[in-house]
Amino acid sequence: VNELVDELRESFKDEDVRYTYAEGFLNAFIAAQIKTLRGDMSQQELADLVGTKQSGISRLENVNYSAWKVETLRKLARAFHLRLRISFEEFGTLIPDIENFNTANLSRRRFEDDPAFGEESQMEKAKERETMAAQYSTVLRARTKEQIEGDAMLRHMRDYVCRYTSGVNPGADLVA
Amino acid sequence: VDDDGQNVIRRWLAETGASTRQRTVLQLQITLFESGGPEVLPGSIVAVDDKEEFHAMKVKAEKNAATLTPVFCYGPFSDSEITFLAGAPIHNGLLKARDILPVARYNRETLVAFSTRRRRERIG
Repeated sequence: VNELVDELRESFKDEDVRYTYAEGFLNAFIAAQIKTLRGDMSQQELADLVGTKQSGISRLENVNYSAWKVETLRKLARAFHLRLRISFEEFGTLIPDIENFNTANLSRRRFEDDPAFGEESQMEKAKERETMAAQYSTVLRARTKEQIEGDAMLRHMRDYVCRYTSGVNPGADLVA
Repeated sequence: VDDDGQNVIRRWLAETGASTRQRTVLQLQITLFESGGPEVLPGSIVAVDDKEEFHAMKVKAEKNAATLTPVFCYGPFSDSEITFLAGAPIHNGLLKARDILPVARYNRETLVAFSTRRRRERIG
């Protein structure tokens, strides 16, 4: 790793070299990630999903291809049930990008498998909210309505209890 | 390295007149191969013999330039390494990897006999 960092640090002093590296890496990244995300799907099946030809997908999956278009990548993102992210980066980020360039790191979970939107995750969050609401409720019961109205933090806690308590609402009697 | 102690890939790059950009992209692809193996270089790594003992790394860095096709083998001393053995010559503006197979085979045999003939050097 240190050897690579030293080599790139020296090479990147040349502007043409660092841009060639950056562009070459971007082409390789796009090609390798499309192929990784396609998985068992055939190039023809993916082509049908994005409204292009199999040969178009084959070209995109070639590390030496550089004429890809953002609009095509957008369509591919939708076909993969993912979002497309484009950002400008510092050259220093290229070093870990190259070091960690492997198929495992290129894989992404489609929306349906994304834990951020999974049922389990939602249930866990709901449970956390109920626990928090119960704690807030205990605090609020020791306060008068006037105290709650006069304190921003207590008002926030009251609103939280009202919003996230299911079933018998322990905060119902606290609502002004 | 060859009998004269010259890096055969560097010599080949000089003979083909490879530009700095071509050498840089070739070096990048070699570095990426080290990171992620052949799977992260789709369209670049192709077998050049029926037994799949020899492979070529196809590097097209410029629209109007010939595709560079250095030939390598896995090993020969360890499964986790590759060794570049020769570069394909240009015929009618095209580099044909199959044409260089006898040289690649000879260089690998030489290397197995004299392991000190191998060097790890950057080419771009």
